[in-house]
Amino acid sequence: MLPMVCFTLTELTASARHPDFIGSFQLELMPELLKQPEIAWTERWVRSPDCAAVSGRCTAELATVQYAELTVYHPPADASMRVHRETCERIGQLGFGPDPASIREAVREYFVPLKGYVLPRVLIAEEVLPFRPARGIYAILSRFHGHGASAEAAFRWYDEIRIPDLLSCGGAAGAWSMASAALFRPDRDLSVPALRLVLLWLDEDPVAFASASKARAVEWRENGRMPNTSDVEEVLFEGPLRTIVPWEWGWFDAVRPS
Amino acid sequence: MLASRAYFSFSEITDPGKHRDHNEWHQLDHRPENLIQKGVAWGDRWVRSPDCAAASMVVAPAYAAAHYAIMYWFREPLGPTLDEWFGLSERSFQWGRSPQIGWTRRPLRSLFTPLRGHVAGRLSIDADALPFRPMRGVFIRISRLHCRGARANELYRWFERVRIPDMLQCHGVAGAWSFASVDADGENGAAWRFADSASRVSETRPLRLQVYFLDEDPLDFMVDLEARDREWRGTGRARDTSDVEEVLFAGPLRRILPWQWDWFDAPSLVT
Repeated sequence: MLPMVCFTLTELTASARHPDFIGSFQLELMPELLKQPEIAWTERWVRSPDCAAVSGRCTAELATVQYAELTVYHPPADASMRVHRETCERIGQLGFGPDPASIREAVREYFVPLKGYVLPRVLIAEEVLPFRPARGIYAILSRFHGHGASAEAAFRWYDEIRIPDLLSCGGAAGAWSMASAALFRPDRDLSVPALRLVLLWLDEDPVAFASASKARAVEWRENGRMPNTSDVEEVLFEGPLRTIVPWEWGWFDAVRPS
Repeated sequence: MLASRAYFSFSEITDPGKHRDHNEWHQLDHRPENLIQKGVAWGDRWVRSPDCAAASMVVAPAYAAAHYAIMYWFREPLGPTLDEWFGLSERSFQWGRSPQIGWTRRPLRSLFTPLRGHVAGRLSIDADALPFRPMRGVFIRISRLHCRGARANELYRWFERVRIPDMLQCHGVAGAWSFASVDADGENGAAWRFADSASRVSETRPLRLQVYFLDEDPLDFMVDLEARDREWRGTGRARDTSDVEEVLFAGPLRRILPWQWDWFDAPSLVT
């Protein structure tokens, strides 16, 4: 697996224009990042209104986020993180990109990829998933309290049951599980809650996938496949987001009455 | 510079029923496996859809049936990069994931040295970032050189100082890169061969390649280019280059959006 990723969840202020925000990313920042040898991949997805409508559990702080971004680093991770930071700063100093005051970045976290999962029909290696076209993603961002047996049991449940169950819903191509990079440093503090991230890449419609997984959850609960993990896990954000096709940025355009 | 070498090829699908399979294989399997390689800076493919083929300015008979163009950009160190890249070709074959062998012919394939990138003044990115910027298509120009020396040098200068800057003024041109061919044999002392090399044609004479990146519809660009060409001929900014080169291909191609692979589907019968 590649060594580290940066994941963000953001929303724009009411006055900001979505085409300006995403246009500056796709047409300016993204190419400037992708040309760097240290950056393996970068992509944003949109939580369009239809995606938001079928979201799962979200905290109040994350209920209104509109975009997710994933940047994947080649090794060595620390040098790649620096290139990522400095490229974003350089673009800002040149006056490109959106007004920072128009953006609320609700989450910015570095994660270490733990394990990849790919459906047999997809053929590619697990670590290649981010590079494969998708129609969207399904994200589960959790905060884990504690670093003991209960947390370990929950991680095993994700690995052995939760992620395979989600992958069995139509339209999933594969998934990555990830843990906060703060846990992989010598100065880590295990008493501090840590974030976990599961991303599923979808090659069918993300709203249909989310609806299907919700419907299947009834059966999973009945069969004991969805235990209550709330003693160690707080789900902060769960739901689908759409792939962003260049120049097709109209998800939040107001619908005018005819 | 972004890359030390680039690979360019035209491909032709010999079985008309295999376009979807071909695109599914390349876009969902082979390209992602390429892009994770650190030595592969980028890879892209474009379609010569029927409307683009109809709008071509020059097409040598050898390339008349080409349906797609593909390009990969390679970073240093070139030896390990090309070893890994050609190695993926063989591994894909050994995995049983090279179905294209059964239906693909490549009338042109060559390694090129990127010479220089140009960006239209309206863009804020630099030339190295250009291939990564979303586009709606490309305009490809390929020529075979008759001669080297002073006449060729003068032509190169004209392209850099007059023709490419003029082309950047055309509707929808975001930028351009120019390339000179290199012989793949002898690259790092190794004569690499693809798993499907029997279906590939290697051009032995020196080629020049220009790729213009378009962020408006390629056909709208063609209309504007033809109008401006008439004007440039009138003002002496366009010139006959046939003393130095033979133009083999000059035409537009479209971007390929995942799962939107219907350009060659037979139109349904209207009853």
